[in-house]
Amino acid sequence: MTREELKFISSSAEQSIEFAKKIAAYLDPPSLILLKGELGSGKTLMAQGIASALGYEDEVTSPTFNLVQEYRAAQEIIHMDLYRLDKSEELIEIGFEDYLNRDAVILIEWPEIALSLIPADFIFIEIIKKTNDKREIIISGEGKKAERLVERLFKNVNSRD
Amino acid sequence: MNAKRNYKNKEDDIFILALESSCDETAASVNKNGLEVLANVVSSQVELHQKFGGVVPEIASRKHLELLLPVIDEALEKAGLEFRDLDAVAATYGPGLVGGLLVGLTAAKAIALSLEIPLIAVNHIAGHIYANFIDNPQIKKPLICLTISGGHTDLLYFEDLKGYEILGRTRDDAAGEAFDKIARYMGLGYPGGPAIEKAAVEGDPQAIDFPRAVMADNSFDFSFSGLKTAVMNYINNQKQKGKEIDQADLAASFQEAVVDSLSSKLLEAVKKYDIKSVVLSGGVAANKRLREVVEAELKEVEIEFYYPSLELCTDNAAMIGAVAYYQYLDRDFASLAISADPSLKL
Repeated sequence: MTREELKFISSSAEQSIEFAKKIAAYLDPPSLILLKGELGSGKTLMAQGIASALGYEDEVTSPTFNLVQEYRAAQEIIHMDLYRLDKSEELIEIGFEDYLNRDAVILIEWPEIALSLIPADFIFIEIIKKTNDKREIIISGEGKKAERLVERLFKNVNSRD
Repeated sequence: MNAKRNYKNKEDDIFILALESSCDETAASVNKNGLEVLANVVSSQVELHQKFGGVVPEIASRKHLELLLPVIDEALEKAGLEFRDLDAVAATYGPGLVGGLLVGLTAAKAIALSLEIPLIAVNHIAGHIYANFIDNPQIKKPLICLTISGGHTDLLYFEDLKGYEILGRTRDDAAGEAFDKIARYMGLGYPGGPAIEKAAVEGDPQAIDFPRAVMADNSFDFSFSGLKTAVMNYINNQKQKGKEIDQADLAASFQEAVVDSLSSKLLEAVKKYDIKSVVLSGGVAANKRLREVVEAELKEVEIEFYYPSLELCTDNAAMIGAVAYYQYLDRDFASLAISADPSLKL
């Protein structure tokens, strides 16, 4: 099985937002998107870019304290931040599995605690902080649909270079 | 289940194919007479899951399905045997991730059915204990075994598969789970055990004084959630104060607290029970600092101490094959209707 991985170097918040918008353009909801990266790496920024490309123009903040925020746009968007959670049992209490069944674009920051509950089809975005402004964004897909998205995104990014 | 047949006895050579697929390693082995390992093949998915920061069970089962048949073929080839040479087939049936367990167990059932040989269902935890006997068949019993992994922290008194007693277990997180969580908070990656051990090498284990859980009822139970909270609070406090965190000192101090909690309970149990040896098992048994501390303490009380080689500490099929041999001699065979049990106890 070939596993495509796309690496993108972003030198600014604006470039990251632009890249997130490109990802959004290829989404075929329902979509599950996992955002991994240390504190301050820009996970919420990617979520912002994706939400705005999907037609949500209000503010997008990290739902660290609410855990889940829902955005109403042409496409329903669910944004989660699981940093505060400690056990996967707590996910069941917040109705995590019900969210997964919704016809939405689901963005999950700090997804590690939820790995035991997710399906094998998702888009995985890892952000590595290189310097204050520079980020390496690595995107890969699990499952046929997500793999296809990464392939198409790969062609798009490479053809513009 | 099978037609009447003549099973082999202790005097005969018995060849068993064993499968293990309870977490993120797809493994097959061929053992001769239990402890002689003719082939031990492990195809690891660890790297794949490393990227996500933990095991994704749904992806693991899909991978097991892809990898299992090639792994079985390779094990037979390495052992220089054909399917028809096998006397029995064994598989882990719990505890573990249900999807993975089903892949291995179903394959074993199919092999048992088509070759008309017995199916042996093995408990994964028993496998980890028996991993010790593969390297050191001379280990004297009764013994005390400390099983420590991502899913378990069990202290047990062990005579044989039918005679053992659980002395203590964790009341919250397993030791390996605590390593994983702290490694994640420290940004060290997954799996946490080796990551923290590596970060701790240059650190001072006395730099930060983290709490060790004391059980009010004097039991042999463990608890790691208080320690975990203390480490997380420490990280958050330092960050709020804008202070640099010395990763090496933090890793070393955390590791020392875990090692201390484990080794002190173990030593208490050793003093209370009349045993001949102590063995470690499970992935966290690979931790060098733990081995060092336990070794030194047991030397003082003159108890023999063993731990498996690195290859046998992590999940493997040879340890399952070792247990299966003793189950074979006891004619402890499973029906083809047996199902996987993700939360199986020893």
